[in-house]
This record gives sequence, structure tokens and C-alpha cells, in this order.
Amino acid sequence: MNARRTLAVSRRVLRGIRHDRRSVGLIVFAPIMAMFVFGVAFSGDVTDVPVAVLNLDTPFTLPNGTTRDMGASIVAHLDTRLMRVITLDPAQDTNETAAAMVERGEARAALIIPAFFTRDAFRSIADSSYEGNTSIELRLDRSNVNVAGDLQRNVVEALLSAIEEFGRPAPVRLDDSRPVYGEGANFADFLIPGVMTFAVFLLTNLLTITGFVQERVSGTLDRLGASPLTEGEMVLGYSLAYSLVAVLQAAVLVTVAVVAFGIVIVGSLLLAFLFIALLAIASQGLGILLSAAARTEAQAIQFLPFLIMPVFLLSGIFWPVEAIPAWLRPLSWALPTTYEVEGLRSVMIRGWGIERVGPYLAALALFGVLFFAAARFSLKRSRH
Amino acid sequence: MVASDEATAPAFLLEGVEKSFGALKALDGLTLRVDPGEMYGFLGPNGSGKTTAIRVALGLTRLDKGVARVFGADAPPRSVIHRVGFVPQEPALYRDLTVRENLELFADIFGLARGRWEERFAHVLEFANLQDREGEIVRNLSGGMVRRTSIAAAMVHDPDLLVLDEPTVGIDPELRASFWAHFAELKAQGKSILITTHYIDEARRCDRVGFVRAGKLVAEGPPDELLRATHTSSLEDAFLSYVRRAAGAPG
Repeated sequence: MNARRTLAVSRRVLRGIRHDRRSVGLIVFAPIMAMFVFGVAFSGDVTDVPVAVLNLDTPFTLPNGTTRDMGASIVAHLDTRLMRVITLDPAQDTNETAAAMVERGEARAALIIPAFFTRDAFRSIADSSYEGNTSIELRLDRSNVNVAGDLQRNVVEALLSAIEEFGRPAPVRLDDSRPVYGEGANFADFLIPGVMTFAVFLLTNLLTITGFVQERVSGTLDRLGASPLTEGEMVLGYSLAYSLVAVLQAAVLVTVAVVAFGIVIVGSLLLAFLFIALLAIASQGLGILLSAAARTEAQAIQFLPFLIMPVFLLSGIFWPVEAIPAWLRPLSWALPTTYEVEGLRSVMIRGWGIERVGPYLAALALFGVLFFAAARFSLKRSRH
Repeated sequence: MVASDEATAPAFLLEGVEKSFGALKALDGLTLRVDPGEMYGFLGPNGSGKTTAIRVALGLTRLDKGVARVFGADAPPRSVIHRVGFVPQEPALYRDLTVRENLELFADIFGLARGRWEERFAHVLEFANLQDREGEIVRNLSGGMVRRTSIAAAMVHDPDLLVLDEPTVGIDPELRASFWAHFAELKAQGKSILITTHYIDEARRCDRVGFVRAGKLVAEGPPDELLRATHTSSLEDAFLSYVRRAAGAPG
């Protein structure tokens, strides 16, 4: 390996990018745009869902003289950011008219609190053999399970809050107010490592594939083949250049994420950038391999969907790897991007150090070495 | 021993080289020798095997049979490749870089000492008549200028053997003449030159020419001798005469 020749290749690649405004746009603005699109669209909060509420309950006076109204209390505890409450008239409306609103699509759910709910609830607490109607009914439109799940969760929370308000703490309680990691983390914190991974993987592959197809088509690869430059030096030169580009890109992304989305980086940024550089090296090797199978840039671009889809769906960028069917999961762990996303999240959100993310780094390094060797071999083999 | 081999060996040598691409026999026992300090014109129609012959000797294509050497080193001639300047048929430059950036890349790759950069760059830019285009992005240059840049890039490290594959295609007659004058100058400095062209007549300035057809050498010698032997006045006619002879001769 000759350092001067290797660095000459790196400099060539960087100069080419610098002279090409489109590349600069692709490197800097595309990932920022992606971050905003995903960050805003997937900000995680479902809001303003129409819910029909029919409260047939009436206040009830306890034997000790105090008056309670649980129905009203439950309604008061509903999250009005999540739900746009459509209050139905107990004098006119019925269970059926409430459900009909969901059927007609005017509401995503109908919440029905039965008549004498407060009375029956208190009586059944005092006397376990008492038989009354203590069931609140939630008629959901489960065509969108995400929205339905959020509504369901919120009604349960409102119910628990209402019970607590009456001085009767729930017999059991879940305390999740002290998370081990990710205190104060929002969706953007979760998303940014994924966007960084995706941006580096996609961009490095795109630049390498188009760059190497050009090398082959324009004849520069032949010219370099008849020069002292070795295949190893060439691959390493490309790797260094793209690692630098990837780290710069990641730095821009992180800066924007901190400013625009207020993400908090707990761990070492330097370690995060090491992850980015390793992924760039692996992606670059993969790009060279793919470029060998293409004769034109247009052909090369056709590979991209095959590259993007598995990485997008299986690496845990948006959906956790745990949500992927068990039989598909080995495929997830066969992708370098899965280690990247896990590693980056562990560093940025959990604040893990090198001693704990070591295995992820090792896996990425292994991918890097593997793809590097394969790329070198494929370049040597192109001398037919 | 190796050093003396390198000093006395032919600059470029093919002996009985065969190379097939599938059913196509590109080189059919081709023998070709360029001596140190010689300017050799390798002539023949498109598809006759000129480019393949060059690629085999430079190690860009593997040969099936025979011997291919550059300065005594078997193909791929890694140990002597720094002494070779190669101008491929297609311009083979980084089009998103400036002329100078291209020169700098090849200067680094061929290990040209930094102290010699300015002197060499000035020299090759003058050769290619591109003195005032140094800072221009190659993509923005005309076709002829790109070809000239390609030749300049191959000469930047002051090679002992210059291999030019169809260097004069797309270059206007005036500049073509100036190229040949420059090649003669390089030869006078003791450099070896192998040049392929299908503008057969411009090869009259070579010391020797070889006519190739279907991967075989059909005639070889100094241009004047070939003209005399075929009683023709142009190399093109001489070439046709040899081709007819080769086709008519039994065996």
C-alpha cells in the first residue's frame, strides 16, 4: 500500500464531488429533507381524532352524603389533544346512534358510559354480589390499529385517573416515570440514528455505483490499470474519501437535528462518527461489487430498489427488528445497517461507550473487511 | 541481471500471442517488437486486434498463449509500469475535474516528484496546446481538447515508452501534424513510441510500421521498404496490397 497513491485517489473523489453541485445537494440537502419529512410526518402523536361520547351516567349521592359523578370525571380526563370529543345528548341519543356515527365514519370511536354507572360502581365495591352495569363501552373503528390503540390507551388512563380522583387509588399501578435510558427522548431522537444510517448507506452506494460505472465506461479504470496503482489502494482511496463525506454529512444532520428537533445526544459523538465511517466503508465496497454487474449508469440505478427496500424495512430504521417475523430476523442481522442503527441508537440515546457497543463496531468492521476484499477481488478479476 | 534485462530488452514485445473472446479470435499468434528509442506504427482496420494487443502487453487483458513483455517484464508488467505512458482510445479522463487536477492525479499515481510538477505540467500543456485551459473542467472542453488532455495526462511522468491507441482521432490536421512533430522530438530524446492509427498514411513518420489484420501481422518494416516492395506510393495502398496477398496466398 502506497499512501501517496491512495490519497491521490481520495483527493480525486473529493474534488469530483466538490465540482459537482448536484452531489453537494445530494449529500447535504437530501438527508436533511428526509429528516424533516419523516420527523414531522412521523412525529408520533395522533391528534384530533373525532370520538362520540355518550354519557348516560348521573350523579350519585353516597350514604355519607357526598355526591359523586364518575361519568363526568372520566369524560373530563380524556385527552382533548388526541380526541375531538363529540358530546351526544343523553336525552336523545342511544348506544345505537353512537355506534352509527362510527359506522358512518363521523367518529373513530364511540365511548358509552351506561346509566347509573357511578351508583352501580360504588355499590358493587361495597357489595361484591351486587349486579349492575359497570362496563364502559368503547366501540372502535379498528381499521387503523394505531389510532384505535391510542384511543383505547387513553380511555383506560382516563378511567384510572377518575378512580384515583375519588380517593380510591387503583389497587395496582404501573410506574414508568423513571426510564433507564431515553428520559425525555422523543420520536426525533429515535429517528435520527435511523435517518443517518439510511442516508449514509444510500448515498455512499449511489456515489460509488455511479462513480465506478463511470470509471469503467470512460476508460479511466483501464488507465489506472496500466499504472502503479493497485486495486487495494484504489478501494482504500475511495473508502477514505467516502468515509470523510459520510462523517461530514452526519455532522450536518446531527447539527440540524439538535437545532430543529431538539434531540439530545447522550453519548460520544466521536464514537457515533466512527460508526458512520465504518458503514461508509462497507457500503462503498458493496457499491463497487454492484457496479461490476452494470454496463451503464442507468442499469446501475436499477439495483437501488433491491438495495433500499430490505435496508429500509429490515434494519430497524423505523420498525424495531423485534417487530419483524422471527423467520425473517436472520436477514436483518445479515445487513450491516442493522448493526449501525442499533449501535448509533445505543451511543446517542443510551450513551453507551465503546466497551458496550464494541460488538456492533466489530460486526461493522467485519462487513467492511469482507466487502473491501470482495471489491478488490472483483476489480482484479475484471482483467479478462 | 534484471536491471540489465530491463535496459536492453525490447520496450514492447509480443511473441506468438493468442487471445480469444468466446468464439472470436482477436489475436492469432501475433508477434510484435518495439525496440528502445523506436517509433513504431501499428496499423490496421478497426477490429483487427490493435487495442487487444496493447491491453495484453499492459496487463489489462489476460492472454491465452504466447509471451507479452514490457521492458522485459512479463504481463502484467507491474515492476516497469511507471515507465509507461498509456493513452487509451477513449479519452479516459475524470470529466468532473479540471485539466490540472487530472494531471495532478496521474503525477501522484506515477510518483512524479513534487519538485518536477510545474516543469512537467508546463511541458505537457504546451505539447497539447492547452496552456490557458489548466483550470477548466474537462467536461466543458471541446472533444479535441479532451483528447489532447488525455495525451498530456499520459506524458506527465516523462515515460520511457509511450503507448498511444488511436491518438489522432477527432483532432484537426494542423494539430495532428504538430503531434507527429512532438512524437519525433520524444523519439529523438530516446523514448520509445508505439502508436496505432487507422489514418495509415500519417504513420510514414514512424521508423517501422506493422500491418495487422484479423489478429495477425501481415507485413512489417520501414515505411519506404514496404512502399518499394509493393510498388505503391501510399502506405494505404501498400496495406491493401499486403492484405490482398495474404488473402490470395494459399496457407
